[in-house]
Order: sequence, then C-alpha cells, then structure tokens
Amino acid sequence: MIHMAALISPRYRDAAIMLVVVVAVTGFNIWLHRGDTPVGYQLYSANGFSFIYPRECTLREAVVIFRYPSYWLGDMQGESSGEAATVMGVVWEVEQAGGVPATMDEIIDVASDYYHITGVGFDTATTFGGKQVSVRGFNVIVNDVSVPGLMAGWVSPEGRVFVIYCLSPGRGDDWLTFQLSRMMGSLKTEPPPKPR
Amino acid sequence: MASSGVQETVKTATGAPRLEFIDFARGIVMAIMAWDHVSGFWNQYHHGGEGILGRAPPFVDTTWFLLRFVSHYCAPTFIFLAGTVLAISVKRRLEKGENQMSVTLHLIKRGLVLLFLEAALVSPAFGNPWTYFGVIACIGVCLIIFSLARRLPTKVILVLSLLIILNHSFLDLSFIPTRPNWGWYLRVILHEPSFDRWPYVGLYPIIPWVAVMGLGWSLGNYLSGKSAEEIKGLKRPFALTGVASIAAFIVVRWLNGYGNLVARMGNTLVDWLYVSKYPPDLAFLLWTLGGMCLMLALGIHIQGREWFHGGLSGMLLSFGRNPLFFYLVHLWLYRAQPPDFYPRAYVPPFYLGLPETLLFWAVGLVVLWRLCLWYEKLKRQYPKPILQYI
Repeated sequence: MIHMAALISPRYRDAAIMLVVVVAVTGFNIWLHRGDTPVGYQLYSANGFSFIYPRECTLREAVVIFRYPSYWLGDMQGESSGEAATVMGVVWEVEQAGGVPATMDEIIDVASDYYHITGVGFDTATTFGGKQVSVRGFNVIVNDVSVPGLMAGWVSPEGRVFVIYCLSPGRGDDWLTFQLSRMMGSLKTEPPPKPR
Repeated sequence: MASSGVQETVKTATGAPRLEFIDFARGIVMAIMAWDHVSGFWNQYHHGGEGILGRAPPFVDTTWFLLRFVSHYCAPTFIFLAGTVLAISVKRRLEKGENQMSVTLHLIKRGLVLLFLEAALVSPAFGNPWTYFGVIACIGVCLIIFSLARRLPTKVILVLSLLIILNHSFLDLSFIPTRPNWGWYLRVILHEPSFDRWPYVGLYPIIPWVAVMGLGWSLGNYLSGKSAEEIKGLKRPFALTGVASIAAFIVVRWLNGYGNLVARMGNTLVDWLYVSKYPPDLAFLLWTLGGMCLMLALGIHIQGREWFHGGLSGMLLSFGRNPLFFYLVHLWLYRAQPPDFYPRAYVPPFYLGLPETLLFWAVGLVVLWRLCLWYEKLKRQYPKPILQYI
C-alpha cells in the first residue's frame, strides 16, 4: 500500500504541517477565550446580574434615581473623561404595569428635574444579543450643546426591567447603538436569592 | 544627475545587487510616514493613539481620519522589511566569511545603537521622555532578539511569528504587577502600549512587532540568492497575497469579533477602517501588510523600467535605501523647533492649515531627498565604522 505521505513532496508536507499547527493553536485559543470580556470593556457582576460596559467608565451607584443597588432595584452610572466623554448607566426595578416604557418614562421624568432633556423619541422594538428590547432616543442639553443619547429596555425572566442608556457628544447613532447592543447583549441575570 | 548616482547606488557596500523593489516599497512608506509626522506636529485635528486598551478617540471628520489612516502602512512595512533586509544582510555577511559570533555581536551593537537613538534623538522630537518605547527602540530590541533567534530554522521562525500575530490578543499579562513602576513599564514594553503613567510610556510593544519582523525575516531568507528572473516571477504571488490579505481584513472586520481589538461600531467607512494600531491587531496587520505586498508587487513591476531610478521613484528609492537616516532627520526637519528643556506633551507654537502642511511636507521631502543622496555619498566615502549603524 502506498502511504499518503509518500505522495506529497516534502516542501508541501512541511507547509501543510506548519498550517495545521498554526490553525490548531489559533482555533483552540479562539475557542478557549470565546467568553472573554472584549478589549475596551469591563465586567460588572453583582445584584443578580452581569454585563459589560466601556472600560473607561467608572460606575457609581444611585446617581440618577437614587436607588442603592439590590437584587430588585437600583441604578448605576459611569462616565469617562476626555474629549469624547461617554456617559452610560443602568437602571433596574421590578416590572411595573406599563412594562419597559413605564420604566423609561420614569427615568426621563426623574432626570428632567436635573437636566434639560429634549427630543424624546418613540419606542422601537429590536433585538440585541438575542433579547427583544425597546429602544428610545433622546437628547440632553449640556452647556447649550445637544448631546444625543439612546436607551434600551428589556424584561428579564425573573420579572425585572433593565434599562441601559448611553450618551456621547460627537458620536453618531451607530456608535450609541453599538454600545447599547454590546452592553444589553452581554446582560445575564440570575434567579432571585432564596430566603434563608 | 540622478542617473549618475544610480549605477553606484544599486549595489550594496559588499557589492551584491540590491533588491530595489524593497527600497521602493520602503521609500513609499517613509514618505507617507513623513506626512503623518508633519501633520502630527502642526495640525490641530491630527490624532494618534488608535486602539490603546481598546480605546477609539474620535476624529473630527472622515478627511482627518483618512489622512491619519493612510499612515498605518508605515510601521508594519518598516518593521517587516527591516526583518527582510536583516535576513539578507546576515546571509551575505556569513557568505563573506564572517563568523557567527561576529554577526551576533554586530546585531546586538546595532540594537543598542537604535535604543540610544530612540532615547537621545527620537523621543525628544516627539516631546516624549527618554524612556519612551517607540518604533526605533522596538526594532532595536527585535534586532537583539534576532541576534540569537536567527539560529532557529526559518520555518520555526515563520510558524512562531504567525502564532504570535494570530494569538497575541489573548495574551494576559496581569500576572505582572503594575505597581511598582517597573512592572507597569514591562507590560508597556511587552504588550500593553500606554501613555497613562509618565514617563513609563510606549506605543510599540515587542511581542506583536517581533513577529512582524519574523515574517519579514522569513521572506528575506526566501529571497536570498534568488535570481533577477525569479524575483520577477514573484510579482504575481505578492499581488495575490496582498489582495487575499485585504479580503481577509474585510472578513475579519465584518465578523467583528476575533482579530479586532477595536470593534466595528457601525457601518460607515470610518467604522470599518478604525482598527487597533497600538497594539497591532490582526485586522490592522492584514490591511497594512496586504498593502505592503501590493507595493512590493508594484516595485517588481516597475523596477526594470528606464525611468525607475529617476524622478519620483528615484526619490523614493533614495529614502528606502537610507531608512534610519531619513527617520532621524525628518523628525527634526518637520518639528522645526529646538528640543524642549523638559520633556512634555508636544504642543506646537501655532497650528497650520491642511494646504500649508501639505506644502511643508512636499518641500521637506525634496530636502530629505538631497540629504539622503548626500548621506549615501558620505557612506561610500567612509564606510566604517559608525555610519554602518545608521
């Protein structure tokens, strides 16, 4: 029987071996790191949920609607400094009668006490990372400059509404949508803690 | 005028014919690099720093983005072809009868000279501290690595280089503490470019770039000893490799996962082309090395032409033959100011508009061309000892 290797010239055999080594090692690495936090983001994990958010934003608790985080409700906001400052935040609470739009309305109402918010758009349904979400655009006036923002809301299986929002001056809707899709897409929730 | 110098310059100091298509490709990127630096020195809307820790600073508009983006070819081509030329020159030295130890010592000395030049001449030009780890320092360290690594079989170097390029984004250096400062600096130098902790700053980490040099080294070994006819036959493979590489770039950006240290955040031209240079991700290297292959193919295509050594291509060839001299001189020519007494983030005394900057760039290239020709003459007159390192 003629061995297959004998039919292949040494030149091509070496190239084939090299290719197999490179593809195998790289493929293994891609598989091994498939769940890693992407570069430029960090992971938040507490209060029964986790999600990734832009690395340069430092999260602070109870900033927007003054709810210190617990499993059932809370709010956090992160800001980056620099010429393209990004503001992002997450608000969560038990689902109300009005569902996601009610929570979004509530956030805008409370924030309107402190900021000039204009151009609140209609809700549109879309999918981020397999989640059916409602997305709403708005603008915040800062120093006479209109900063575009976008928020997305989703109801988790355990009955919590999560709204994630993002604002950045000088960035387009694409950028905001991308950030929201990354953050919302990465959101994972856990069942409520059992009473001891 | 140019042609009288041509016959003298197409041979190396050892008398071996030069692979001029390499000089041509290198000359193109040197000229583009000059644009990037003159723009960096004098334009308000010029940006750098793409990809540091995944960050993507915004550009004022698409024009300014593209004016910066075009310069992405420079560092990969510069470092890749440094590896190619290194392999060829090492082979020639050994063929001339130089022993292995002497070649190793030569490379170490050359690497140390580059580290010194980065600290003494390059860093001050950018307003950086002497500890700044830039492209020249990176090449210097790579030369020192190759003073030993060159003894490995080319196939091993090729496989290791490919593995590093395809996998370095998974590298986790968190086991190195960032306090004290040496730990931070080590991470900056190895794989995590940063300007966050002055003066421990750098943009060209060794790990990905030594692999780019390794690819170039492999090509150099492949090219060594090839006849002019065989080189001519490489035009098509270079062109195909370039096109395939750019096609792979499109696939990697489209998939928007593996190979992208800066994710594509939308579908505009800027979103597609905004890739990580610091450190160079796979998308960045596919685009830039693909472009370099096309430049090499073009170089092979035109290198036999009558006009090749004159005019614009003659100018590019003179840049490509003297890359380090060009690099050192162009920085100070375009900075056009004395060094700061204390290193600080560079701020020009005033900003230039785009047309003025383009004019400054073009005039500067002509000056640099004459200086390169003069320097070549000087090198021929005094081939040893110090000029051989620059």
